[in-house]
Amino acid sequence: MENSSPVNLVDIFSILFAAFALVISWRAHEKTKEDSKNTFLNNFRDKLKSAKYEILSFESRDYSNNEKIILTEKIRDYLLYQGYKDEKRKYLDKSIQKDLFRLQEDIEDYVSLILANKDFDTNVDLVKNLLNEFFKKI
Amino acid sequence: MDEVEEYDFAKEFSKNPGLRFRNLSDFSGEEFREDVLEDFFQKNIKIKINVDGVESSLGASFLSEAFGNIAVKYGLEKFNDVVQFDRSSPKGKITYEEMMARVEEALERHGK
Repeated sequence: MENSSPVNLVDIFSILFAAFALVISWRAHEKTKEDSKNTFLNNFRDKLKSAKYEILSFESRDYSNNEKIILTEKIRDYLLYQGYKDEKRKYLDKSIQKDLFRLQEDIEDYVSLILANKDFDTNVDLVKNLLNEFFKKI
Repeated sequence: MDEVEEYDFAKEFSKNPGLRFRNLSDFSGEEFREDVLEDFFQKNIKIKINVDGVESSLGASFLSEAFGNIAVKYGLEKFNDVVQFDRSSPKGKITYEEMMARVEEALERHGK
């Protein structure tokens, strides 16, 4: 019986050490997850800013069909259209995902009016406001 | 209604589809719904759409206008019966998923 005491102490230290290692590893995993989320959100914010600047740089003139295709594709990319599916599901709330889904369609509708030179200034302002409002949510 | 017509979107409609309305862009969703899809629904023929040759995306407003509105008009059951997508490529798969999401949203918006 006298010999069992030091062995038990070693066991206890082993368990404590294993538990400590588990906590450290869990915290590192959580930090990586949080870092990935922040990286995604920061990139997305940059893309939203780029979408806004792109639209603000549109001119009040008739665009050729090729120009329209290139510009609308650029805006779609900035709004993560058909892309980043897993990240959107992982890092954006359900309500934000729905707002983004609607935003993609609304922005396209305004862009079609802007590129057709219809109520140019009003529609550029409306797009700018929509993007600003969404930006505040993420 | 067993007949299925293969429809190569890029060859038969456009490699670069436009936006929602025909008065604002060429090859619009409205044009595709009125000139292509309506015909299939009225003749009760299945259409299997292949989008592999499309260079740009089928945008949100195009999908909503073309597929969302025709699903609202004819109902989801008939829509699923008539409209099929070739989903064997990544582009076909992602376009189909986006299209169905826009269809569901249009149905919800119309309380259906």
